[in-house]
Amino acid sequence: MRGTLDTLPDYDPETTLPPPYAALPPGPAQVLLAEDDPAMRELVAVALAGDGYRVLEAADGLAFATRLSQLIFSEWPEGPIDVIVSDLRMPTFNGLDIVAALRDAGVQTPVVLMTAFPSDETRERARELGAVLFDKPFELDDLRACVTRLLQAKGGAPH
Amino acid sequence: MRLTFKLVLALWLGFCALLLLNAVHRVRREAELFERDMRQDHARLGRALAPAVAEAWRAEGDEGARRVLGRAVGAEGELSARWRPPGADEARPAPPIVDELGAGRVAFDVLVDAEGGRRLATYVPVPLGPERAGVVEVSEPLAAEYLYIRTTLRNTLLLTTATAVFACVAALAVGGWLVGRPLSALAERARRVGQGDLAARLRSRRRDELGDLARELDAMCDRLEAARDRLALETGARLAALEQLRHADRLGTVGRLAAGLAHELGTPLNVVLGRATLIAREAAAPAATVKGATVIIEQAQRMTALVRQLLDFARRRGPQTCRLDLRAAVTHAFALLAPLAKKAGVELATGPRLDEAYAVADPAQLQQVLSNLVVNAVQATPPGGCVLVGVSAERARPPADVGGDEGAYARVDVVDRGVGIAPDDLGRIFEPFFTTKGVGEGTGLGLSVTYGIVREHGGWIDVESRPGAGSRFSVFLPGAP
Repeated sequence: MRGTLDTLPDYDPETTLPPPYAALPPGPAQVLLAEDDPAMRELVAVALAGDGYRVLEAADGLAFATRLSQLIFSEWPEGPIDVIVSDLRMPTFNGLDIVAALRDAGVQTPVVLMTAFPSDETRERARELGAVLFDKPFELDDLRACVTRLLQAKGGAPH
Repeated sequence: MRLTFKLVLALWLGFCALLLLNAVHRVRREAELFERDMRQDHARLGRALAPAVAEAWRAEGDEGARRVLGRAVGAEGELSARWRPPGADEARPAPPIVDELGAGRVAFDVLVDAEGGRRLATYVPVPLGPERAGVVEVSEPLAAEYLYIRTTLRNTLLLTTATAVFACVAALAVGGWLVGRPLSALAERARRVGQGDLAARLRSRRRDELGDLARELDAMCDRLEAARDRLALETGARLAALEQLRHADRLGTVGRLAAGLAHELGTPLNVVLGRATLIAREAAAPAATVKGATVIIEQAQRMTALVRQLLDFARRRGPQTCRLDLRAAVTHAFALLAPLAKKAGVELATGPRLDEAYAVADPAQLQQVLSNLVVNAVQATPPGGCVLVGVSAERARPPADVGGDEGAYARVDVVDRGVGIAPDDLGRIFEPFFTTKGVGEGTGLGLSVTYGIVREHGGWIDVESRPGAGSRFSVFLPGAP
């Protein structure tokens, strides 16, 4: 199934928990999507949801960090997060710093970072953190393929 | 030479005055000698004749004396002798002469005749007995003396004039050689120094004050030239540094602007691209909608490429150099650019020289340089034309804004016979965002990036272009053996 304009729900960043996709039957792989730009977040969310994943959205660095801390302290009610897709530059917290903290905490969840025209240093740092870096603007198909690959490598697949 | 003239004139006038004094003195002395000789001759003649005259007088009276005198002196030309009998009172000599004669001595007088002619008269007493004496008067016109004096005067004047003329010429020549010429040279040199010509030297070997002055002038020129060269060098370096700063400043501003803009543009571009892709894939969408979405995708991709180019420019890294075979690099660039050239109908060829040349360069950045220059050349060339790329190794001296000594450089020439560059634009082609291409054809960054890369390699770019005739871009990179 593919996300289309027709299937796009009304969007409200404040109501990202639970997102509309939470209504999907339990079991699909869960993707945590952090992106401060609503249009971009919606676009990626639609694309991933169209592939059958359950997409959990965070509207900024703070929401992202909060989600992740819940994940680390096992307070996350909806089960483990399989893939993290995050913007790099967000208000409050930088995506790279958050992923670095995650890795420090011993969480090895696959991470896809998105950023506009990254510098060589950014690329290097992302590589060190074991994150895949997507250079905005990128093709949505590439991102979808990447998430699928990461999940397959992890042993899970969308339902 | 005026100083020489003045010196010579002063000396010469003094010299002439001395010559004249000498001439006057000589003439006067000659005249005196001449007159004395005449007197002595007359006195001798008179004395010699006196005994014969006295004897004739005793025998025959006055007539006898006159006959003796007439016989003795008659044939002597101007010389004449007269007998003055004792007691004769016609034309008596003046009183002092009478006194002299009374004392038995010879007396002299100058007589003036009726025509104004002057004669020297010598009176010789002839004793005729106790208390009686006659006088023999020997006289001669002074015309001979005057003639002699005139001749002497003329000779003296001729000699004096000749001496004066010779002295004048000699003094002028020697003065000109010793004073005039070196002074003129000094004055000319000083004038040239005043006009800013510091190169020539007098190199005088004279051991006098003028020689000292010439050497001092040379030394002053040395110091002035050194100071001027130092100043020019410092000014050039300062200007080059300023220009470099301005360029760096422009690049820095462009870089910051580009980086900031890129980060802001990335996300909206991604959304536009993503949404347009979704629309284009909408199965139920009308063909016109799909076509519209496709155009949006293309344009968004073009914007993306532009932003990327901007960022490449902003984030230029320093070169990571190695020894690089330029011929191989050109071959590689040709392989990459062949499709583009073919599309434009332009032939890529090597020449006029393709020597073995190695440069110290960053391979990727050199490719960028070659690509930019070749693409520009292809774009400037009409279809059917040809772009030539040549490689050579040569010794070259960097231009002033790069600085440095002559050294070994590897040179790549990119030559086209295309539209050329207007002279007004030639100075600006390396400025960021300067472009003569139409809207959408270029960002105006290509040559700026090329220039930046080459400068970071320690090289420079030489441009030669004539509108309508084509352009030659020569890249000089530090050579590797």
